[in-house]
Amino acid sequence: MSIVSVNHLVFRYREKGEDVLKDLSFEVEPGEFVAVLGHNGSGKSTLAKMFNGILCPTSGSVIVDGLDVSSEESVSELRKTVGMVFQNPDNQLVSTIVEEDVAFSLENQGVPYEEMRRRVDEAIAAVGMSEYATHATHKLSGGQKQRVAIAGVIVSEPKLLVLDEPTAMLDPQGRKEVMEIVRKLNASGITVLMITHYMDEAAQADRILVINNGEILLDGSPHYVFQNGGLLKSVGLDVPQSTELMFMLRKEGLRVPLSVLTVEECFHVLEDVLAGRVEQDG
Amino acid sequence: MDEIKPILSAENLVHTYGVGTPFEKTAVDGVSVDIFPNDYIGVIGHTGSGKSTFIQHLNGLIKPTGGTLRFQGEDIWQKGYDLKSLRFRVGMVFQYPEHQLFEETVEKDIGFGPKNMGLSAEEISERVHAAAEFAGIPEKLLSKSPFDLSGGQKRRVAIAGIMAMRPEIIILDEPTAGLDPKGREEILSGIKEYHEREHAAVILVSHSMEDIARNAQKVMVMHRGKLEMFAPVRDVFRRADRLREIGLDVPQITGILLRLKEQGYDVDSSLYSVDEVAELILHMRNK
Repeated sequence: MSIVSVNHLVFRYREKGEDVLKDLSFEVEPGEFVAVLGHNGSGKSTLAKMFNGILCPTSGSVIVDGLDVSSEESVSELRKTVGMVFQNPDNQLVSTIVEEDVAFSLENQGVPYEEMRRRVDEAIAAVGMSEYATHATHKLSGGQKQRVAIAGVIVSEPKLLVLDEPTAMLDPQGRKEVMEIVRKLNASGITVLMITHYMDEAAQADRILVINNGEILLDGSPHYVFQNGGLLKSVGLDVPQSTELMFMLRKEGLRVPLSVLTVEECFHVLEDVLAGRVEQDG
Repeated sequence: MDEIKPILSAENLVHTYGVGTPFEKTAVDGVSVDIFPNDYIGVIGHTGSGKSTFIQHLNGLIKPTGGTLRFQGEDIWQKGYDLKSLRFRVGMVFQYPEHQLFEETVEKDIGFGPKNMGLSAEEISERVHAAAEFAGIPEKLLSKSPFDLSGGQKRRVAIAGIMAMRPEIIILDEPTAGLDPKGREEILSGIKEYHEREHAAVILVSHSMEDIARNAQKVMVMHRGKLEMFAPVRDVFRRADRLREIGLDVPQITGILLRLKEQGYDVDSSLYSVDEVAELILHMRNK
């Protein structure tokens, strides 16, 4: 059974306003890592807010782990099932000490101390912040703060983690740290839906959904999606530099594969090119 | 022969926060750098490296606790120096500048700086239109409320507001954060156009090595408050190992060349544009 099921989802902010999401339908399987790409204003952040009931569909439905996000009764269950992480870590941290911050949601749920202690320690360990457990949150780097924010979410043991541009405000080191944690959590079984503007981050997902004007433009593996470089550029997106290089070599008649995403993949193709193992037209 | 003089120079600049308290911290530690008219300088460094503190010195927003900052040769902290007019000549665009919009219309918002300069109505109008053009803001948006615009448009209005003062140096702190690739490209090409047409120096702080590679001529690398490197883009990205050590990176395309080099291919790993690399590969193949 799918963990997320979006059926003919339509959404507009004002009754007579424009549809921000237009008849979206897709499913997400448990354990998938899905990246959502789209330009500013494409509707992707609006979509993210549907999954834990911050916004409700104007028509159609969004079902997460059997819970209808439109139903009042399911909201509190839904907030435990779906963890949300946003762009700015400073807006998400509520306590001055790392472990207190991570414990915040459990305290509100009235979880017994022993269990809370164990889950907090595990969540902090899962994001690699154990040695900072008793540190002040305001002294952490952006990447560390965002990792603490993630710990504060996974401590509730959500099945689905929704991240809305979690690395937009971080430096390269911070971005790397956060992406590593997200991949690790996904490998441990949490389903991940991540909105990003960085093509190299999307390339690390199992699947990419490209949203344009409130509709799904492309849906498939990173290799499939980035082969459509022209289409992506036409909607204000881009491809990784390695993919762009392949497009340029193709233009010169070299029969290189277009679905090249990482430094390593690109290196192997270039080795083949330089060794004369790739045919050239004309 | 006339020697070209730096427009802005920092001499052994030091900034220590909280002097004499337990929180004393030296954020900028002896930075010396000359910035020339027409320079386009990228500034990189991980969070906490001191780059934001450093750039806030450049138009006198904060006073160094040691060293000197000169604009056109004059110490800006000498007695009687006109700091107000310095701030018209050294324009600063902060992170998320769209949070600072406040006027009723886009036109008034862009015109706020020139108005404070005491310019005539005609001059203000002329500058507002020119700045809007640089920043890629269509005429028809000028009469709108800035609050009705999209995030990317608001950001451009905020940048136009600085450009309208015609600063001789424009400093931008992460101007493309949170924007999609097209939005990034629009902002960066507007800045480049301003740089070229107004012969203004640009200082661009960015976490995106790709943006730095595509736009800057020289790069300042900050690390623990010190100026770790200050060199042309090529020479900086050639030192990938050191950059990675201090929490930075090189553009992906440079990473690919470094990988080839590691395997013994004779490539120039200082290339950093995709076009250059495509050309190099074709050339090597046809040899």
